[in-house]
Amino acid sequence: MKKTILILSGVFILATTVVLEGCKKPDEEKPTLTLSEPENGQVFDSGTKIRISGVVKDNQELSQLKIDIHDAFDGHSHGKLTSEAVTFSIIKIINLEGKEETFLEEIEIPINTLAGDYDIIVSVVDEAGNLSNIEERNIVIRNSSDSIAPMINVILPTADHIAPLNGALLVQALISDNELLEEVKLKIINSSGTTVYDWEDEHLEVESYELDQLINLEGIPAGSYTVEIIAIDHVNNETDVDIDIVIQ
Amino acid sequence: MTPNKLFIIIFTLILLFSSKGISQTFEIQGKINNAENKSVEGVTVFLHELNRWTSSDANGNFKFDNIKKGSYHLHVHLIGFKSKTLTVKVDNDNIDLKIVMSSSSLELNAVLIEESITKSGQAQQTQPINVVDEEYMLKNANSSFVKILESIPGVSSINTGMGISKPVIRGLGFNRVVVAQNGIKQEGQQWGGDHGLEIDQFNVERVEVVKGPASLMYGSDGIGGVVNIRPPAFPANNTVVGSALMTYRSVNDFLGTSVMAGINKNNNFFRIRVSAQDYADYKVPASEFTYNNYVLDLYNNRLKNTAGKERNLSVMTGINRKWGYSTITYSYFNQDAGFFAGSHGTPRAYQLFDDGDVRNIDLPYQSVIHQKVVSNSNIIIGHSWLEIDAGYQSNMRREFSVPHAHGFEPISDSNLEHQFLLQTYSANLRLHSDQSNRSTRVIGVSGNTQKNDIAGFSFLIPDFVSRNAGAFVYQQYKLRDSVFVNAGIRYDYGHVSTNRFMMSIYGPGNEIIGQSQRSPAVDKDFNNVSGSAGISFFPSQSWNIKINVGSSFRLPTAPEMTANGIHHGSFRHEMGDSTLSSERGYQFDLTVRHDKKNFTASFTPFFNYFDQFIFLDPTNQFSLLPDANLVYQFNQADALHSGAEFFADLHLTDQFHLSASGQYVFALNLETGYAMPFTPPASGRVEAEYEIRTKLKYLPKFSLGTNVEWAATQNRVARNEPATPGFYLLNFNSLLDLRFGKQKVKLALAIQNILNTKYFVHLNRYRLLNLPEAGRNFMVTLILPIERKI
Repeated sequence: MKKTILILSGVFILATTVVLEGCKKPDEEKPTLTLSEPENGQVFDSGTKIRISGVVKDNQELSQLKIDIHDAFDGHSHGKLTSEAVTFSIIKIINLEGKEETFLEEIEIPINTLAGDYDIIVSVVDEAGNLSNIEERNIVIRNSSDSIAPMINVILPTADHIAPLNGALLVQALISDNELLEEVKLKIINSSGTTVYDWEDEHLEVESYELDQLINLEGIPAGSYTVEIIAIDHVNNETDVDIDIVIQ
Repeated sequence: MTPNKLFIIIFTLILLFSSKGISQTFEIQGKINNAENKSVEGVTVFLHELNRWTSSDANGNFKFDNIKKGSYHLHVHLIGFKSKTLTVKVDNDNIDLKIVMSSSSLELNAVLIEESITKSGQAQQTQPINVVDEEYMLKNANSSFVKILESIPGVSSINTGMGISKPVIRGLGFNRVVVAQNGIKQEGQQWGGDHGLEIDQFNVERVEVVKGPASLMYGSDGIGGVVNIRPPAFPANNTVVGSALMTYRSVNDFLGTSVMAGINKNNNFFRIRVSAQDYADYKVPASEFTYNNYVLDLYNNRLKNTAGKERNLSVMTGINRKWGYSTITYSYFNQDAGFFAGSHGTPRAYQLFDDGDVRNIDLPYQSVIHQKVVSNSNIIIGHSWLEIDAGYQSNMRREFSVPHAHGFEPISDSNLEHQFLLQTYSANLRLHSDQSNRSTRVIGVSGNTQKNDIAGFSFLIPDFVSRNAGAFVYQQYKLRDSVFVNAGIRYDYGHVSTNRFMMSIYGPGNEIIGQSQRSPAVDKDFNNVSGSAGISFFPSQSWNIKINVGSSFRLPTAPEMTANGIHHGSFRHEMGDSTLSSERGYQFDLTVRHDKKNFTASFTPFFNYFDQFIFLDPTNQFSLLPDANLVYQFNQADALHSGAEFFADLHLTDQFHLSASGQYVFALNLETGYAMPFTPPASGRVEAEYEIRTKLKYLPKFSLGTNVEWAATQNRVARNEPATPGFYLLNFNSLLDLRFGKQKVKLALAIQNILNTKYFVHLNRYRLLNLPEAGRNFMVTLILPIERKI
């Protein structure tokens, strides 16, 4: 009995060892990527070029470098903007050779690009398929034909306004833009960052707008809140105004 | 043969057998004694071929009447005794049996093995099979049916968050594990990483898990093992049954309820179960996570948008006669499950802001509707019996997300990103015959045909059609009382064809300027022969050794040959290869088992060699599609796959027992020396349980158990797969058998992850995002069973 077990375990161990010995060591080392340009927070005007440069290295052979630029707008669907301006996104893949390469890419930002935050993500893969660390930069693109954000003049509420619990809150503001307004948003945010009221008016295409909203506060518990008014123009220039209020 | 024709033939067969003329009938009766020659009351006796059961009376007697000539299997079991399987041959006389039960404190002696081809007991089996029953599932309750199975050594699961999970056996998952319910293989989107098993966890009463190849019975795909979900037992004749279940879990504010009602009147029965569950975003022991050097917030310590809900229905009706039985089951599974808000593309801080509602299912999410109609029949023909299973199933998986701009392509105005509608017709016929007292033969044929239709604004896999047909013969032979051998051989034919998929190319004005091929047309035939042989012998009373050798195969699936798109959450652009050939495994299994009255232990090493193992391998090319990183291509390489499981259970007293189990898988790509993707780490579990019988009227029995789960650090990973640190978890469970008058109530209480440990699971797809697993979880389940004679 014990013999049978011993022999069978022997077969397993032997077989495993033989197979392991027969294996060659693969290239397990990841390539490395150092990005020197651009810097985080750097501002670019549409119509100009973004310089992206750095050094890539691998222990054996490099294969490709990828540059991915896309907007980092906070979720609102910019596919629906009525203006001519569009979001800018590009994926550029560059073939590499050898163990080390210094790269410099100049990528033109189209003139009709929507203003706002954009992300640049760069990564490298080697010949064996090992993926490098991923380098990311957050940049700001300004629309060069209209870099002026909308103006918001708040009439109501005043700072530290006290609103009645389960009552109503009147928000009034005059909003204007040097060209065309696209969208006006109104939010009430509680102290832990949760949005308790959300309202928006889209596809405006007007130069000025009168915000006049009577908000029903029913169900919103007592506490400190922030009323946020957001105005966005047709090239995505954005202005935010925050007013602190108390509900009690 | 079209599926419709197949159904007509099967139903004609059933009618033919059921309308046979009057023939003589007999009785099978018996008396059950214990080793001290005292009669034993309350033993369950199950007459397999007729799906009838009874229990022994105060004098240990039981009886089945209205039995026609034939060979039958009786499964006899009662907690506290070793289970038994008896073969009974009815020729021209009534049968009178004397059955002696030997006592045992071991819980795991459940012997009824449906999964085995010959429906015999554990002794005759040559492969490791674990059986899980309702009580076990109640005690080991978890977030999904598949997660419950993880407590079986050798079983793990691939998860997307909490609600979506699929089984992995010995490190093999996806299309390498067959899940069968009512004898019909479940056909969903097994190829997909975020596919979860479409099974109502409250409608499972019995599961058998076969570890190792099961190609003989299921053809392609049975290469890693089988999870066989058995239909619930019919209510006994002239009874009504019912049950109500309610459950709550704190970690995701899970509320679940399931209600069942059934009746058996003159051996005509009907059963219905309705289940519903709703759960919120789950809580993790972390308020932030780090992805790619960015620290991102997890508001309220929850993973935003991991909420979900399920609505399920199952209806079964059937008849039970002396010629056998026949049932038809319809089931409907409907799940909506959110994906973590940052799991499509790179996670961004703004996506994770609290939306003020932890129960809403926002974009991205998936919706799965799985419907099945299955007919099962068992017909006795002389000393043989014929099993006929036929089924139609429709699996619709839809993925919803925000469409985004890419190039000049117009933006979709629908949020439907993917829709896969897979329809499958399948049928199995198996003829069992006992050649002699020593020899049993099973001859079987099976076939299926399926069709996949796609829709949605993104492309991943094309429309396809596939067909399979197979035939096998299997023989089991008893050499001596303590030596059983078996062997089988199977032939399979398979066909896959896919439609070519063309993508439009858009110009600057959103106008179509051309077409490009995204996925080629494939039209391929495959032929395979597979086989297995095994031996189970008892060198002494307490030792059992099982050896099984087999060759199994798997056809490349349509997605493996033609996929070309983003698989979200994995950041991969997955690309098929139309030149793939079948993968073939050569498998060797050993089980050494030791059984004493108060102790059992088993050790099951396995050693597999795969010729042309199909796996997803990173290429050295980047994808041009947004939200993807590298292109991953389905590739083939010879692979080694080895490991072992062990299990030991020691009863220190009748009431107190300790158990330990463990598993290890070693998977090696013989061409690159890398591990295969999704290889589970070494893991284990130790458990102590105290089962107390009291004199209390309201609480005749309860159990208290605690266990520690352990997983090792997984450093053996595939290329670009992150290593995962190990962990320990402390859990507690308790099951109370309550009684209020005549009403029985079962109450299960459990705490998972008592210490609220922050840990990662290698096989959770959110591991790629560096998201921790769920935190401490209190679970309460209440079951009210009802049974009345009518």
